[in-house]
Amino acid sequence: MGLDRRGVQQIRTMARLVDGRRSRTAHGALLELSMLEMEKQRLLREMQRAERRCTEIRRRVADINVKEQRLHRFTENRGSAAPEQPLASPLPTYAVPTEKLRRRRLSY
Amino acid sequence: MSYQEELTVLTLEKQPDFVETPYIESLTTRALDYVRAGYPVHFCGPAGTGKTALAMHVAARLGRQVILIHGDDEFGSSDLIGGQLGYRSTKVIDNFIHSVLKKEESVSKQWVDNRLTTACKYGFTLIYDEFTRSRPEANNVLLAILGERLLELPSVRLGEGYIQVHPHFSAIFTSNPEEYAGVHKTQDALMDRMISLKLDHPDLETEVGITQAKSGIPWRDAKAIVAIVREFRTLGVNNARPTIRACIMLGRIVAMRGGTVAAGDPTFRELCRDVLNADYIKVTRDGQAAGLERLDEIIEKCCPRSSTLVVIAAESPRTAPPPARRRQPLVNVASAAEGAHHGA
Repeated sequence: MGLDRRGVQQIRTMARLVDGRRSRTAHGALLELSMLEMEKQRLLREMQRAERRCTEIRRRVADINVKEQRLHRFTENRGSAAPEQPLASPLPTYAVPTEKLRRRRLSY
Repeated sequence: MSYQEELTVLTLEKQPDFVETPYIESLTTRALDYVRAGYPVHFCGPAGTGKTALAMHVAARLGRQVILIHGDDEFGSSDLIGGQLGYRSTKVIDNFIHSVLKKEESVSKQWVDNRLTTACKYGFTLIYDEFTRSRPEANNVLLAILGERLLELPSVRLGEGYIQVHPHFSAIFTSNPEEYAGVHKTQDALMDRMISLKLDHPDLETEVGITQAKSGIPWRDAKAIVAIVREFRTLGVNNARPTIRACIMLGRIVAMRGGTVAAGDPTFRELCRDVLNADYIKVTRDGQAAGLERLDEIIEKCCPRSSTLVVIAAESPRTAPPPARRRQPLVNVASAAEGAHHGA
């Protein structure tokens, strides 16, 4: 199936056959009205869902664009635009614990 | 965090009889230059060439506290850097309410730094004597210490596990040649990180000076003894023994006896035979070991026939009191010895 033939409009149902039989009478017309209203509500909910999904997609595309720009800058200025990290502190140096130090003299 | 009971560090002091000749001064100056430039120094050479004394002398001249380690075949890394060598136990008994007894007891292992860690941490001077007697894998920890100046401790140690080697830390190594008994090969990477000074037997002036200083005998006698030992040394296969220790042994025993260094003194000849141990001189003549014969010839060549001086007892009675059994008039001893020698 091609892309242009996808969608709600291409779904074949028995609705028209039902309409043709029931619209000749008053109660048939009322029944058809209710069915059309239900279909309209279903399609409107579907449109709302699609709009929400489009909004999500647009937001994600915007995020992707921002990240692409940052990565482009990183590759162009390698080293200078590295991801921000906190500065590492140097290893500590120790002072001689004079209170624990026992000095001994050795002659050679 | 390490648990440290007490640190014992050494302050090296030069004895009055330590001899400093131009030979020793030259070696010391070179080694000090290398150490001050940040490189470990390695004195290698045969036994009796003064490696350990020189290492101590250099360490003393550096003026910092010294940690001394002697290499051993049984050593592992933990013998150098430390390990989980202790336990700490705490016990709490809570009897606040008399009818309720609550006990809490916990036992935790304690890390104890060993000498290498202590030296690296606080910047002491390390003397690792005969370090090739330790197995190479035990010395692996030295690679990072000497290269990256970083001491890496096992993960079981509480705390960071890395120690930056103190800027004042310096290391002096000594070792014997690989062919000596009980000596292991050393990894090339370790040797590449240190400057090796190859020592040989000291020059004549130094040997005579040391012999005289350590024994107290006159310069002339010391020179005769050193001449005998040096001549005898050339007969050996690898010219390694006898060393200056034999000179000092001879000198001290002569001083203790109040004896003489004379070719005509049979006591001195016997002493030379005992100390110099002619067995390891593989000289044969007509299939017979000729070590003793050669020794007699060397004594005849290097010593006067007789000596009329008894200077030891008079010069330093405090250091070398001669025993009573050997107190005889020297002239009689010398003449008797000469007679005995001619008779033989």
